[in-house]
Amino acid sequence: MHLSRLELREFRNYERLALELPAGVVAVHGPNGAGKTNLLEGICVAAAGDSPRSRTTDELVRHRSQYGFVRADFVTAERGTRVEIGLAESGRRQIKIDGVLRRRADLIGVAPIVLFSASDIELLRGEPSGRRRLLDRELSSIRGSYYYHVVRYRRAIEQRNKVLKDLRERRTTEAALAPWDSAASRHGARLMLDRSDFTAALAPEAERAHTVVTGGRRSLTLAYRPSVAIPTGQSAPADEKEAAGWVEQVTESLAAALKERRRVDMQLGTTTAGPHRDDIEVALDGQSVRAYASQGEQRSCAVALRMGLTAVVRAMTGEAPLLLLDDVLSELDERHRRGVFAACDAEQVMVTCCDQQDIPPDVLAGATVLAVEDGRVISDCDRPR
Amino acid sequence: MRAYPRSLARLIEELEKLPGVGPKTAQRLALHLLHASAEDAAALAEAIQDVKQSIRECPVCFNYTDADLCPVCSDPHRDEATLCVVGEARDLLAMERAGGLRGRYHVLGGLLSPMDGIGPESLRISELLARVREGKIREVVLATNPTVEGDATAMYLAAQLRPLGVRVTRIALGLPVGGDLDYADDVTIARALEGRTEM
Repeated sequence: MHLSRLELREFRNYERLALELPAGVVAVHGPNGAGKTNLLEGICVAAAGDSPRSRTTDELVRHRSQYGFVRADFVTAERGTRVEIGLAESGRRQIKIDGVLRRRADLIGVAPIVLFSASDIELLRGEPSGRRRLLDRELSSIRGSYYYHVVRYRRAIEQRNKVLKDLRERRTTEAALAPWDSAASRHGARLMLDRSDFTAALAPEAERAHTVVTGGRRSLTLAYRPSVAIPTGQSAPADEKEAAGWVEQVTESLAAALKERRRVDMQLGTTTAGPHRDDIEVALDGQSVRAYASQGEQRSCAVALRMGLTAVVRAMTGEAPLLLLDDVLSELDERHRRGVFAACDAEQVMVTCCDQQDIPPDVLAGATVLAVEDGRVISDCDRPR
Repeated sequence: MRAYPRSLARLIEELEKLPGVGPKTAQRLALHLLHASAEDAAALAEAIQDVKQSIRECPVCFNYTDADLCPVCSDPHRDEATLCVVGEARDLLAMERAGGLRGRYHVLGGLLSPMDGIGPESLRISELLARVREGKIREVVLATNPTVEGDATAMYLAAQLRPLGVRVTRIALGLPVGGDLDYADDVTIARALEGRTEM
């Protein structure tokens, strides 16, 4: 899939912008604060309905304006789709797909994109919650049933935690926990199955991407680390019947874990076992990246992780996502920069950098180059065609 | 509201307390009543009073009734062996409209939700267990909503009922009748798949 046209009006620092874009590599360069990231953010808003870096709509609307607008034309092998997002400073947003008013959920699957940003390194360095969020976001966008179980699992845990607090203050009896233990185990087991499957699919892809990016001196491994034990072997169940058996088995282990932790949970007033305590362990040659890898190694692992996600999304949706690389190159040395472009498996890659020399010369030679300054694209010079 | 005479303002205020009624709707309703005939207005007032005075809970199943027993409980042709458990009386009315059940009902008066302060003791569970212990009931159909709370309530009830030696069933969840598969959302399809039946 690629983006053939982008229009921004009163969006961030852009007053008015209209760009025609070819497939291939699009390099966006310019000084700090020029609006390079804002350009990519506009694409994210069109593809997902919201911004990866801000939760409120008013921040997206240009200073001293009341309304912002993004229009993007996405093209796949089969068809073109026009997405229009209207943003009001008041917080309202309106989504149209091919001219028809839609809900945000309708955007799922319309224009798959993967954003790489400098803050991705936090995925590896930070708390497990960030890695769980990544899993939840990716899985929800490709599997509707996953989202359903996430919402229900969270609700069941909230209700369970309330009972735990009531128990601590002797306002109820232990029998009141049972239905929530049961709900949490059933929905939790479904989450764990999908997470286990997804990690199993992601691991070889991330490893492959890591080899290409770094030249392959160290080996990257990903492993799902559930807070409650799952059947050994870790390989995903092959068929429906096996999956059902797997879920049943894990439901029982989860229920048993909740029962076992009951005393501790009552004292703490919160649930201490279950998929909301899961993690994904990322390791180089068997050593935890979080604890032992250098900053540079962490960066290339983060890039490989995103590349791996791209491959998995492609395999699961049948469409190569649009890659957005936001200020990722400046942190890498030249060999790794080459590696990033070698590992990119996409119809279109948009890359931002302060200095276009960060892009390997042979890649730059075939790229569309946009110079951005102060909310304007001042040239699309060096266009090779 | 200062522009309105006191009695009209009071009517608007009262109407605003109704569910789904905002200030504008309340004002429109109040002005409508003001222009309605004296008989119509009196009929409405009387209907409201009447419903408050005559409608009670059925002492057996906790459905609405204006007699000693509700229409279902007083119907001698109902199947005594099947009991359908619902969260609210309005769920019972929906089941009755559907007309698929020949048995009787039990209204719990809500669903388990600790976050709303509703535990097992707040629901009519002991009354349900007492009815089952009488020995005539052979199957209990759990027809609580397919929400997390409805499912948890059903789970809880099933655990309490099983030791009493009755068959405990849960209503099926899945595709809406008359719906096309390609229009149903992923979740509905996933659930329908989980609850598939042998043919």
